[in-house]
Amino acid sequence: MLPPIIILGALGLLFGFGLFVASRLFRVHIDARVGRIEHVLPGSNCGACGLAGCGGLARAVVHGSADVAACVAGGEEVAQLVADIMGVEAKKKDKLVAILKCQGRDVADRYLYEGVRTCSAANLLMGGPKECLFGCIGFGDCEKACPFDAIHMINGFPEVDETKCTACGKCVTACPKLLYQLLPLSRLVHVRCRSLDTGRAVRKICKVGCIACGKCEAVCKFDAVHVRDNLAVFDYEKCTSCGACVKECPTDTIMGYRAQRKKLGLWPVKTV
Amino acid sequence: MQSYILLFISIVLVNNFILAKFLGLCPFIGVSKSRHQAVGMGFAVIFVMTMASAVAWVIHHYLLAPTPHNIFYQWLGEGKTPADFDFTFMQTIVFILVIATLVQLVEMFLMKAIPPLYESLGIYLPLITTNCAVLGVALLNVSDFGMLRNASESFAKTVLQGFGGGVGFLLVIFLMSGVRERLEHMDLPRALRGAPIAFICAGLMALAFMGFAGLGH
Repeated sequence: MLPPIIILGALGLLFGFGLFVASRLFRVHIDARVGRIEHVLPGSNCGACGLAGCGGLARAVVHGSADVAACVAGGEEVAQLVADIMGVEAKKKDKLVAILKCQGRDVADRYLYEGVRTCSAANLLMGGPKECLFGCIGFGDCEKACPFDAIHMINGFPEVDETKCTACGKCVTACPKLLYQLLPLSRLVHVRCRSLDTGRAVRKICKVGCIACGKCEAVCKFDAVHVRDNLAVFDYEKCTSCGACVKECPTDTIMGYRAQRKKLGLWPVKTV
Repeated sequence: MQSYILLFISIVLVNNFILAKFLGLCPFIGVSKSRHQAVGMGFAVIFVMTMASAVAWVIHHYLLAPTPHNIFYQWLGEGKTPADFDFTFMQTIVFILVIATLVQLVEMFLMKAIPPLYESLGIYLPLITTNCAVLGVALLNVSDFGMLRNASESFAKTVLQGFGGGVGFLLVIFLMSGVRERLEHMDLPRALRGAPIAFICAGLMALAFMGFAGLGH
C-alpha cells in the first residue's frame, strides 16, 4: 500500500516543481490591451476581418498587423473603442449594408419542388422552382446564415433589417443566386433586380423586374446608370442618390431607400 | 547494430503508429491541414515521445518493475524476492503523469519561442497528453523491452522506439498534409469536402503502407 502512494506522491511533487521552474523560465508577457480589445469586439467570431475570430483580431491589432477599424461587423462604434484602447485615431470608413437585389415576391413556380427546403439544394435542380432563374428562391438560406439576426423571412421573402446589418458578408456567400451585395449606407438608390432576361421575358414572369427599357439611363444627369445585358447597372462612384430614376422607373425596380432609412435613423449617415 | 536499424525501420514504416497501429488519429486528422502546422506537430510529438519513453523507462525500471534494481526492493527487500515489489499495475497512471508533464513543458516552450505555431496548433497541443500514440509507445516499450536482461540495451531500444515512433508520426502527418493541401483546391462533391475525403485518403495511405510489411522478406 505504501510504495504506490510514495511513488505517485513523489513523482507528482517532482514534476510539479519541474513545471513551476519551467513556467518561470518560459513566462510570456501578454499585453493587457488584447483582453480589453477582445471585450469591446462583437464576439460573434464571424471572420469578416479575415482573421481567426475576435481573439485573433485583438492580438493582430495590438501586434500592429491589423487596423483598429478592421472589425467589419462592429462598424465605426467599435473602431472608435478599439482606437481609444490603442491610443490612436480611427480612420473614417464608409459603413456598408447588405442590399438584396431582388424584390420578386410574386413570381410563380415552374414546377412543384418537394426536396430539401434550402435555397442551395433547390438551386441544384434546374436553378430552383421559380419562373425567374435569377431571382430569390425564398427558402431563407440568408436568414439562417445571418449571425446578427438582421434578415427575416416575411411571407417567404427576405427583408434586411438595416439597423442590425453589420455587412459581415455571410448572406453574400449563402445566397446561391448571388443576390446580396454589400454597398455603402450613404447610397440610397439601388436596382433591385439581377435578371439578365430580355425585357419581354421579364415582363411575363415578374411585375417588378428590370425590363431594360433604358428610361433611367435617359433621365440620369450624372451618367451613373447604364443598361448592360438587359439590366440597369449603377456606377456608385457617379451616383448622387438624387432619385430621378426612382420616379422614372416604370416597374419600380429601382428603389429609393431615403424615406425608409430616415425612419430607421440611418440617414443622414452618422459620422463619429 | 543490425537489430537497432531493423527496429527503427520497423517502427517508422512497417509498424507505423498511425497507419499500421491506428493510434494518434485525432491530431493526424486535426492538424494535417497545412504542412507548416503538421511539421510543428510532428516535431512536438517526436520530442514528447522520445522524452516520455526515456523517463518512463527510468521510472518503470527503478520504481515499478520487479527487477533487482527496484529501489523499494533495495530499501525494504531484506529476505524478500524482487517479485514482491511488482508495481507494474501503476504503469498507466504514472505514464500519463509523465506525458502530461512533458506536454505542459512543450506548451510553455512553444508559447514562448514560436507563438504562431502555438496559435495554429490550438487545442491539439494539450491533446498530445491524451494522444494514445504517446501512451501507446510507453506501454509498448515496457512489454517489448522491459524484461531484457541487459539494462543499457533495454534503455537504448526504448528510446529508439520512442524516437522512431515520433519520426513515423512526422512522416505520415507531413505526407497527409501535402495531400490535404492539394485536396483544398479540388472540385469535390460538397458531401466529400473536408474530413470525409481526408478519411478516404488516410485509408488509401494505410493500404499503401501495408506494402512495407514485405520489407523483411
